[in-house]
Amino acid sequence: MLLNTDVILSQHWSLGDISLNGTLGFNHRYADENGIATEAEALIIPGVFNIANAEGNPLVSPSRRQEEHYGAYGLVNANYKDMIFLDVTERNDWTSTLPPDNNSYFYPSVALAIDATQLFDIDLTALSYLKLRASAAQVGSDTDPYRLDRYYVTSYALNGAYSNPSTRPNPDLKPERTNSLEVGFDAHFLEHRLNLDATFYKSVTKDQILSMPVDPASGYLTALLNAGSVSNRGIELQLTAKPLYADNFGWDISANWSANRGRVKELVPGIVDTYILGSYVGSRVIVKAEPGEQMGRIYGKGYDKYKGEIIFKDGLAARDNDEDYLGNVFPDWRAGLVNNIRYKKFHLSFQFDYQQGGNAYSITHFLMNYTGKGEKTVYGRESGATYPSGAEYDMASGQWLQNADGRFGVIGDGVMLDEESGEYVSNTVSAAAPYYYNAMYERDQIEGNVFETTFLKLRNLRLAYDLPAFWGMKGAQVALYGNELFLWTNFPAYDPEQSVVNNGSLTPGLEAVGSPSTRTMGIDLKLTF
Amino acid sequence: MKSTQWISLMVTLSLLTACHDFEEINTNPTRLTDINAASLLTQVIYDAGTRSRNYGDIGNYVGQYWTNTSLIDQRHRYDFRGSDSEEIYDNIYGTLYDIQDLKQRARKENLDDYLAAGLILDAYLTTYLTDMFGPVPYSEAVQGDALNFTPKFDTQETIYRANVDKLTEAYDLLATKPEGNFIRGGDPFYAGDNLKWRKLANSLKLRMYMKMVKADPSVVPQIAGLINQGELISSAEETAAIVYDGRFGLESTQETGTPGSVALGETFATILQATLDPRRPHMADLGVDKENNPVNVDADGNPVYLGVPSGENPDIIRSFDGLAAPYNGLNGVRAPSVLFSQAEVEFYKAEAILQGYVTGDAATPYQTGIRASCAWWGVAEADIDAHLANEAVQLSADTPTAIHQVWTQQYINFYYEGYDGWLNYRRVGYPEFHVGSAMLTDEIMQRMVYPPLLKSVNAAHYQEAVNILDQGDNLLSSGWWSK
Repeated sequence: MLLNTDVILSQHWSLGDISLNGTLGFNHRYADENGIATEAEALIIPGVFNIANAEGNPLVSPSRRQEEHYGAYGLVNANYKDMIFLDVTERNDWTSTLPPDNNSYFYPSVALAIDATQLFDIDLTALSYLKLRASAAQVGSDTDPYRLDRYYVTSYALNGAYSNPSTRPNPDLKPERTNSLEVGFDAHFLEHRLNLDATFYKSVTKDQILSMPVDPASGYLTALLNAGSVSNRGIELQLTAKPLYADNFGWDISANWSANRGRVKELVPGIVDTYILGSYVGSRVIVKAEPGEQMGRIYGKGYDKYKGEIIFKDGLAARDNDEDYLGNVFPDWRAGLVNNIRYKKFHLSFQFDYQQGGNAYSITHFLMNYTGKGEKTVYGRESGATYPSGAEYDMASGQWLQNADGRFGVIGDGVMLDEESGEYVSNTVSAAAPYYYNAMYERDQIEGNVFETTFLKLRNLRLAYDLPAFWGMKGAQVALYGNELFLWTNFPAYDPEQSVVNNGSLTPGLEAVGSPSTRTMGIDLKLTF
Repeated sequence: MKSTQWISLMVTLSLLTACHDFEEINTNPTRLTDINAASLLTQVIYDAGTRSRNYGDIGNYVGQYWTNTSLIDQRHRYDFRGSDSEEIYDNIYGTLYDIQDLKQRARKENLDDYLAAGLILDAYLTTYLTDMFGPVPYSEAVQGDALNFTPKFDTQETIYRANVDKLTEAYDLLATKPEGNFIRGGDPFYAGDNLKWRKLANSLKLRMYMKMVKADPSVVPQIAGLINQGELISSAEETAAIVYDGRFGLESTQETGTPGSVALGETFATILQATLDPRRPHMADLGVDKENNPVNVDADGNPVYLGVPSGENPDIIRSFDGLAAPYNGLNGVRAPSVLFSQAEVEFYKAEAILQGYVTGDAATPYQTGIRASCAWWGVAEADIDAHLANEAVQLSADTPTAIHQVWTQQYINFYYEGYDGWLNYRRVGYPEFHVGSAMLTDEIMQRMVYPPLLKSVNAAHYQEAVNILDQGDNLLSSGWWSK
């Protein structure tokens, strides 16, 4: 059951050039869900799907969810000659999901927008329109019900047995708060033929309610905590242009560019210092947020190195057992470009998307290459050797080196320890291809399987032709289109853009044998009556 | 306009009167916030017996009872996942939290027997943890409620000493209230028999002393004391095990790994083969051809339960044909999770006599031990008699030889308690384990590495622990008692 009630009172005033709108509002929301799941492992009479036909005792699990919220708010919109706009809001919420001492929270916001072209009477061909805007806002939010008290977990194996929950409940939870600042402008040049919309933002979330992984020796795997302060800042730019515009011909371009940086200022000082965003592949790959650092740092085992070169032992790449920083999961920036070209009755449009940076561990890569199925593992196999009597493929020079003893293998590009001198020298020892590639790309060799997710994609392309109206229709159009057409990337799996969704939450930094994004192509006919 | 506002306001007000007490609706009525000690005990015993041991899988690889012929599971050559460590660490601390809860409730309700059971299981699990990892959180463990999420690590010696005291405390609690008998039920081990719990406490203490004695010879009188007092596990009914017989809803979930890929380890198979051990058909499936004839037969026509050397590369593993596999029948009620068997106690007694810790006739406990182990695995009485009559099985008059015979039997007895078999190897260095050419170490591993998350979530104390370990956080750092 869900009850939602809104009461809104509004009033309009005019004070000369200033027009004012005031609103007072009240909201009440009450949700009550009751459920019983009954499960039978086997049926007495096959095919009769009735719980009374269950063999043995059916498993019954009740569920319940109840929550209630009140909100009271006021907002004022002021408008001066349609040139200056000022919005001020204030809101207080009360929630049942937070403890009595912390269940009421207040948050205001203010937003200002100025039409500078009108206000300062700018009349230039170069600058046709300029709007400036700035806002500051605070938003408060609560959490899910039943997160304050300890509830015993019914045993999955034993009748009448109970154990403790693996997440520490928190009877002292506080509401989350996000403070954000945003400034931006929308500028039109050359009689609206070149428009630039720019936004700069910064937000700081305080007391974020996170379920944070902790040392299991504490008795809990995770703890519900209000985590210190996490900031995000970024830039979003949008450029639209009409370079050519005529009756028979037109060209529109729209380009966007954005960058975001998330940074952890502090978590729960003295209690939890690292937040684990994700831990994958049997905890081999760990994505962390650490105070003072950017969010999303990948850690895992890497190659053992000497002055930046991989150390080979008996021809096999050595692994160090330290946790190395291997890159950040989040991209440096993203960009997109949309083109629309019109010539007489033809319309051509296409969209490119680009992402710079970001890293992910590729399960596809390790599966393909440590088993010798990937393309990069063809070098050094006996079947491809240029000297049938015996040869080793030298990775550093990219050439086959003949040998007399009939061995085939790969000489890795790196160094090895010279036993006599005790110094590192260029590697000269080969290893048979299966062992060489296994050591290079096995699943524990995290560094060998982490790759940049930079890509360029032709997202879609559409060529359309306007047909003359016939049979009383207003118009018709036939088009040839394609989506997900081309992808240029060095990422070793199909599509670096596809993130893995696990239990409903996004897992940044992991590519887990995802299928390629589907390329669709088709013809469509649009008829307008 | 105005009238609509008034109507909606009135609707709201009528709803407001039906509104709720926040605290009341934020309490889930379908779930428990308070339970009694007995409900916790059942779960704790079950978890101590099953989850923490990962159903014996890794232990059986590490103890060289099993190998795996597939490329996917390479744990016989020590190629572990971080989750292999988590399986032990995370689960045991989860159970220890339940035990702390059990102890608190038992204290509040003056239930000395439940408190004692909690102490015994606490000592069992924390000893197990430190045996696996070395230093682990102990004195500051399970303090998450007090917001201590970064507990300090205690040394293996500290934990051992404290656990001996815990077991003594438990024993005393049970001894002073012999009629206590777990009136609220919930005991799938012993159905509330105080004496059996006391025997478990003493047997655990004996197991600890036998490990400690090399590092601290001063425990010899304690070993003698326990054996002379005689209150030790001494029958199959006293064996501490989770028996999957349907009581308490206990159905076996034991898995023996991917069918076809798990094979016996050569270390174990060779020992069984040497005396044509009658437990073989109960412990393993013979490698047979399509006509059901054994693939491998020795010179006298006896079927060979062939095993693969542990830690070898796939080329070597593939060269074996007709391997014996763990017995599939173990899936059912015949694979109890054993925490402490009668045979283990008997072999400790025999060893203690042979080492001169206590006087007596070593042959008696030695034979009782073999008998108990064979019977546990379902060997018929007549076959046990024949086995004991085998000259190679009879206890040698030469003491060093006899000690090795006892250790061999102890090793066989630890099948399916694979971690204990490996711990016993670390204790006595026998039977000889195979160092495979493809192992990730050049020696037999001495410990499991810590779960990878600890480096992040408890960095400072993790580093302190790593500094205590003689070779850092790797498989070869030795423990206090196994140096």
